[in-house]
Amino acid sequence: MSNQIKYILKRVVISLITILVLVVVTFLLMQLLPGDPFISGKALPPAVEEAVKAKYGLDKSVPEQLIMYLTNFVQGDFGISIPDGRAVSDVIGEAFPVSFDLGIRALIFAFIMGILLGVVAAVKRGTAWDSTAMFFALIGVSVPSFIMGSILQYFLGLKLMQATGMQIFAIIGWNGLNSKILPAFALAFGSMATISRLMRTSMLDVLSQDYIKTAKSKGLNQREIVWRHSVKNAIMPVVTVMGPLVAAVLTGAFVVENIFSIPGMGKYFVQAIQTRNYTMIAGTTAFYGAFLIFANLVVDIIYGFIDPRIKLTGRRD
Amino acid sequence: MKTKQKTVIEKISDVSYDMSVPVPTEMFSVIGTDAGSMEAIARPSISFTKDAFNRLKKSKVAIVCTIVLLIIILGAIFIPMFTPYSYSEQNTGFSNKPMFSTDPITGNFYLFGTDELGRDIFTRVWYGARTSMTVAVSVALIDCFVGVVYGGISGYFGGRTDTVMMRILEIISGIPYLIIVILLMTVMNPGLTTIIVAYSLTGWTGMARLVRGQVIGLKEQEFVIAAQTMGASSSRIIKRHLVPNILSVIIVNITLDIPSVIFTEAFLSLLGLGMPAPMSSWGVMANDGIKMFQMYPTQLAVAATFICVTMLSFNLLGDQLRDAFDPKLRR
Amino acid sequence: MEKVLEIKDLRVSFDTYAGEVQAVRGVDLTVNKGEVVAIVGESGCGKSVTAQTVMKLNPMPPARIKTGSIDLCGRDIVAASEKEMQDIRGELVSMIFQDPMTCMNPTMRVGRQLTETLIKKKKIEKKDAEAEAVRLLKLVQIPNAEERAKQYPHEYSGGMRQRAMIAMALACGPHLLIADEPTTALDVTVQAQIMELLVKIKEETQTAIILITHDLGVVANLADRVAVMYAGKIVEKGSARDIFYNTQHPYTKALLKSLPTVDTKKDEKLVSIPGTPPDLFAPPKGCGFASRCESCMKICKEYQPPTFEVGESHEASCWRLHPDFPGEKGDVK
Repeated sequence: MSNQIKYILKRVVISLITILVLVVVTFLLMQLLPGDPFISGKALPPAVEEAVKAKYGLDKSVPEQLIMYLTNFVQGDFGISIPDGRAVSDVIGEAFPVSFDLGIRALIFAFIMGILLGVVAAVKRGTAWDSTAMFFALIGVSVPSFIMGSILQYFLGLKLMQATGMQIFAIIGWNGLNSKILPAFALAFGSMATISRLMRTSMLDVLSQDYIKTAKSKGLNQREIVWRHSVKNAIMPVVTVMGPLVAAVLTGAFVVENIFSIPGMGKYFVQAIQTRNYTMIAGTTAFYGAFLIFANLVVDIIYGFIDPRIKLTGRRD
Repeated sequence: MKTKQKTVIEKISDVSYDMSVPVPTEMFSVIGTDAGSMEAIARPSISFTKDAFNRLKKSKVAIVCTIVLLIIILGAIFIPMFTPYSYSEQNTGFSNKPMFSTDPITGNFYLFGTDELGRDIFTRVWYGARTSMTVAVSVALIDCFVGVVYGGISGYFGGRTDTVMMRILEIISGIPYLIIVILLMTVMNPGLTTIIVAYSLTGWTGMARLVRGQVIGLKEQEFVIAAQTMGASSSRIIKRHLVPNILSVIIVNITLDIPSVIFTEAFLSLLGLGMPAPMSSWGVMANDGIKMFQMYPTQLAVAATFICVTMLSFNLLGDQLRDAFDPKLRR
Repeated sequence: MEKVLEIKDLRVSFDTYAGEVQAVRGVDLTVNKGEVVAIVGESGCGKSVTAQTVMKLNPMPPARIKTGSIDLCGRDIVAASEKEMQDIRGELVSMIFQDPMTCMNPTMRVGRQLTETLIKKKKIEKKDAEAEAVRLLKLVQIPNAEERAKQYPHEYSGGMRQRAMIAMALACGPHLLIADEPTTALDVTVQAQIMELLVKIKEETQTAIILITHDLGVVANLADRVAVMYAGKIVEKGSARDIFYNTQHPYTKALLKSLPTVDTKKDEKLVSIPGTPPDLFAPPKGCGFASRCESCMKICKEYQPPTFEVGESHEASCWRLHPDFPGEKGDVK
């Protein structure tokens, strides 16, 4: 078996265990709640309540309930939202695509801009380019997305509209491109900053390597040295943090969605917290957690393919 | 110091002989090797920690950040003691007022204005500083302690212990941080302790990894092996090699951990999982501010400024510390 | 004979936190076509800096050429812009480095690392470049060159990587090849193979080679001429024969003495030179070797020894060669 396949299999197994742990922890935490989850919230019609109780095995022992919970989870049944009786999976099916759309836009933007800024800062080290890029990066890691979002909404949404009389950027909602730019940027800014800082460090490290000296001694110009010999090597450490960054961006979306009134997971989630709708909270977090672990796995597998050294050793770094 | 040394060098640069002048014979008297000057080291020698500290002192950025953070910490401790209002005291007839407003009826002066419920924003923001900084510092210290112990054990014992501990760590850190905090915050009673416990349950994994890496790296490093072969005792190796290296990692990590906890606190407040009312924290104030932002932007601005300035100072200071401690950057 | 490289009075300094480090302090060196010139000296004597300055590879700043001229095949290197240097590097002069493990891009196939210069410099099609890359790999005796070209550097052994590095350096047929301690990081058996390869290449292509090394043993078999460097200066240079059999400078003598030979008895102590080279942060005003030299005289401490011609193209810088020196010339301990 090739080392690459071994590496990927190992990652898959660990991810599956992690998801299992996450779901079990969610289940156990729900058990800790006072009373049974179907008592709190609005009362259901007795017939419905009986049916639900039977379906989720609330009359059975805890281990049996756990097995049922797991089976349901695997089948895509994340429980039922008590106040309105909707299946959590329905809510996810409706809201998740919106959050995902926002998250992907933000991620692509953060990745491309972050890499570019990092490369420019490293290549022009010590110049005004470097300081400017790193100043923005520092602002990016120090200004939380919700503050950035509010500032953008206020100045580029509200004030710009008042000043020009035109709605260049929509203040709220999720229809059309002009409503998607500000939230995606607000969400991307922090990750872009993180990526650019990492990329700069990594690029500086690569640029001091012997093989860059070799490339230079072959008579390559700066552009060829940077883009052909450095960026691919320097991007490796950035790719390793992409997993956690995907998680940060997609969870960050929860708050940004609320600021811009975007009908994504965040909206339902905050509603669920305000109404103490525990099954909804548990269902959405468990789903989200599982999705993020999966995303992390995808990043790791991509990494396994782009770094030829993994083929040989079956491990990274 | 720099210029002084330079002038010395110019003076002793190579001296050539005027070849038209015959060389007096006595110049050819043999004096042999000169043992004393042979081993002379012309470069000034500075110890590692001293060098790191020197560079830190030279950095204006580090000094400014330290001063800003000291002001915020001292302010958080003392200012709430002296403000005329409490964090929960409401003046319902005088709500949502801008900065520098005086209530015409009671004659009360509000430096940063009042919020939706007519509470003094100045008092609340400093009380918030207390809460947020307490949470951030406690969590960072707990993370650091657990991480050092876990990572230290894993790295020190190695072998199977290490493998098992690292698998567990991989699984724990595989679950997104915010997801687990959200779940915990949902089921636990809201309050300061809850927040600290929830945050520190998962936050230590990064530190554990770093410490383990350091310990393993050091165990294998040639200078440690060299020290062992030269008969240095374990305690000396730990004291001279392990502690200084790990200490710098710990200090830098704590400094960079604090802003991320401040962020998490604010983030969860915005989801409705923050400190319970009427308590104040920067996150709670940001949440209140965002609701009123379009009409009364100053309310968010105050909380946002405190959050951003604190995070920025910690991030900058962390960067400076990392550079100061990095032996590769020592020139 | 056709001159490939002519260095005159080259001085290179590094500006560091504590002041100026004078790494190279007035070096003169000529390299002719088809000739192997060895630069010998201990670490830190400025031999690598000299070589890298020929290609302007050391980052400037902190490095800085203070004075001197470098003429490479009629091109003025000191005045050349970075853009001109890019044309010169690879085409007129190329370099192989000490550690073949770190000198190749780990994420690029070896074949591609070869073809990229061919495509850029020789303006040939990708297909022809690939064929040429395989030919070069065969030239440096890499077995299964076609398949090897498709592999990554980490799939090569150390010796093979150094061969591939040589192939890369030869790609555009440079006039001068600088080999900076090419065998230091390799096994002894592999060292000999690499050296043989360099000789073979020199004979086949008439490429001039500057061989930088601290190993006099390597020099004896390979070099036409030898320059011995100490503390940023060339203290003695001449044909390999002159250096080994008509040694003039006390430092060269000490170096030769420190070489273990087959005759060295088992219980005999290896000879070493006591002391350390001067810190070039504050070089001595007199001879750099004075404090370690057993024959050191009063004048050595006070004044720089001028360079004296000893024989045809054999020079040394030592006060004992001065016409006024009362003792017997060249009588060095």
